[in-house]
Amino acid sequence: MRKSVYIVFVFYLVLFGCKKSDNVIPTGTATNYSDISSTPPNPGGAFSFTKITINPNPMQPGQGAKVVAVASGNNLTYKWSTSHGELFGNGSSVYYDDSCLGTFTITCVVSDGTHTATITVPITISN
Amino acid sequence: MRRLVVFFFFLEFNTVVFSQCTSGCCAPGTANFGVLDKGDLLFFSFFKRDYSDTYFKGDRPTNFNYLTNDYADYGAVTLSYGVTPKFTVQGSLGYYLDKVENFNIPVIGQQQLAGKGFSDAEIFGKYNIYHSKNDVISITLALGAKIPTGAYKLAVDNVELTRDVQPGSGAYSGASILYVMLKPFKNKKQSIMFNSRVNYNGVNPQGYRYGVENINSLSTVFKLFKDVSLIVMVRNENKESDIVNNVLLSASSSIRLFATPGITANIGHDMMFSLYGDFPLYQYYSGIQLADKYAFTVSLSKMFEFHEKPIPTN
Repeated sequence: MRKSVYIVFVFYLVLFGCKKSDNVIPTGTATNYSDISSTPPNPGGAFSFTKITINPNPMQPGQGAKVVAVASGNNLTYKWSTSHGELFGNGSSVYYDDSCLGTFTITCVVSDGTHTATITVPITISN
Repeated sequence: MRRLVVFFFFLEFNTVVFSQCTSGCCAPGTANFGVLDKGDLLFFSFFKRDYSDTYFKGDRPTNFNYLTNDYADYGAVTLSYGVTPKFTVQGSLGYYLDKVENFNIPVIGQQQLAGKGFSDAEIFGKYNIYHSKNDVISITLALGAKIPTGAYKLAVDNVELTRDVQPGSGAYSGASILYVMLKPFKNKKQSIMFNSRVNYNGVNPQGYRYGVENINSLSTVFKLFKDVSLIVMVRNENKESDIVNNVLLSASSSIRLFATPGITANIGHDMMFSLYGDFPLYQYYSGIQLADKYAFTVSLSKMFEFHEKPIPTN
């Protein structure tokens, strides 16, 4: 009986332990990244990744926006992610859309196989 | 009726999520609602298909050109073990065969995003905190945690899939469940079961937190034939808004009420098969959201009885 109560107590601690892990890990929430240029960690890298363009931005829910990573170099790969919404397509140019109102972020990681560069930009969905 | 009761406390699990009963003969029961007899092992598996194709604004359908439909096929296995007559431990793990969203967006055209894979695992400890001597009421409390075993940043062609088709949440979470069984009638043959579950979702490494979810159900069972029973259940699901990087997603909270009718059949002495559906009676969504259309679930359970059986008296 006492053992059972102890086990229940441990589960209680687990429950509230989880509540304490509320620390939000931002993926890049600064106000404006659109003019930020990023260079590879090694200045001698063979590519440049200068910016991400989004058109239109802001956009309406369901409107769809074209998102382009402006980079130059050989054999580049593009990895895309967003804090909310949907990304369609692949490569240097993708489409973004969302049905929710708010300001979210789109991140692109460009790599030439040796170096990587990352840019995160905000996108706003409003009526 | 005691034997039916075991099934009922699983209905909460396959509704979530996240997110998400029986009667008759077989699964041998437990004197305390929500827990197993000491030494007994219960295997419970289910498959669920859910489908949506209509947007709601508030409590009414609305036209919105975005998703044409979404659906998911999900299977899971749950193992429960009676540690003591009042305390049961339980673990669950599921797999999404597919989790699909089909879009038709004017500028972008028809697109499909689909994910699959293991979902997050769950562990629970359940303790029967009260059982009346006259067998009229039994109350069990369960506390548990969700372990982020499922993938939460699946990508296709280096493009991360939308959160809605990721099989895992990426976050540790807690949950509590209250099980109450009443036998209000003198013959004690008809039980009324009330379950209330709260999911306290944590924040994942991407800064996404699902809103707190509360699921309440009221259910009973009517025997139709010797080994076949009818499940009657109403379920209410309330969800608070999600938060991404400290920003509240206003179009992510909801209040829903479902009817969950079903049939359950005993297979031999210790197995049970069930089929039941989810049909929305009322739905209210903040903003514009894709509403639930229907879901159906098939389940199979088997009890392995290891507890000491009472010696029959002549």
